[in-house]
Amino acid sequence: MKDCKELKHLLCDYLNNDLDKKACEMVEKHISQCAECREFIEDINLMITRCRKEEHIIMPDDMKNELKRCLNNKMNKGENNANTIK
Amino acid sequence: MHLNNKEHKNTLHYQLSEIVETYSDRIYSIIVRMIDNHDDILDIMQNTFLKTYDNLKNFRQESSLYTYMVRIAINETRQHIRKNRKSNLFLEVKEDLLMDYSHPSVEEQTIRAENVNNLHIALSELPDKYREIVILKDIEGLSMKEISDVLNITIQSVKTRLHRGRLLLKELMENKIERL
Repeated sequence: MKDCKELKHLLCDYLNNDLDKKACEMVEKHISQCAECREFIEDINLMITRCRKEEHIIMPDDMKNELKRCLNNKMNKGENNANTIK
Repeated sequence: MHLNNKEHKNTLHYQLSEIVETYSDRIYSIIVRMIDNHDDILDIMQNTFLKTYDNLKNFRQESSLYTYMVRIAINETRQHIRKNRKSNLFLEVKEDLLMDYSHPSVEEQTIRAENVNNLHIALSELPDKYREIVILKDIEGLSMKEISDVLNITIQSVKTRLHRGRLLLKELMENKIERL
């Protein structure tokens, strides 16, 4: 069994599904026998899942309108152009 | 087809309008997790879209345009944080801000507040370089390649920084739970 220290540098790639088959099997074999590493990976995975469940934050309409107004002002400066961002 | 000056400007104005519609929420969602001041967020959004507009002709693909916009937004945000570090360290929890925009039921709010609280506090305490990478990868779902383009670092550096960020975030979240 690989020791925990040796395994640590593979964990990032393992968590991102970036390991080749052989390395992946090696990590999985280790964590099936090492409760500490298994718990560690479960905790990190839980946290990543928690982050992925975060909802996108929608820009409030009034702020979006304010942004469009500001952009229009800047763009039309010196252009004498009646275009506006709807 | 040859466009005269006015027609060319009209086209660019139309394109900017489309870009604002398409990307404002996605860019906002990143910035608002880094900065909590309305006027500053608006400034950063403005600069991001104006710089994009100035470089519109250089883009051919949607993915590179989005990546470019995130890069500008991140750089603008970093500059802002550096400038305001002494007076505003992003220490306040922003769940009030988040709740206002998503309109969940009271019951949902209670459950969410318990879950969300620790993550938001822990995230706000992460050093900037780890916070931005966790936001981009684990919350906004950018690929390693996109993050490497946005931050102008190698994919290996993205991986290393992300891993350290996650470890630190885990530690911070565990500390929050222990303190409850």
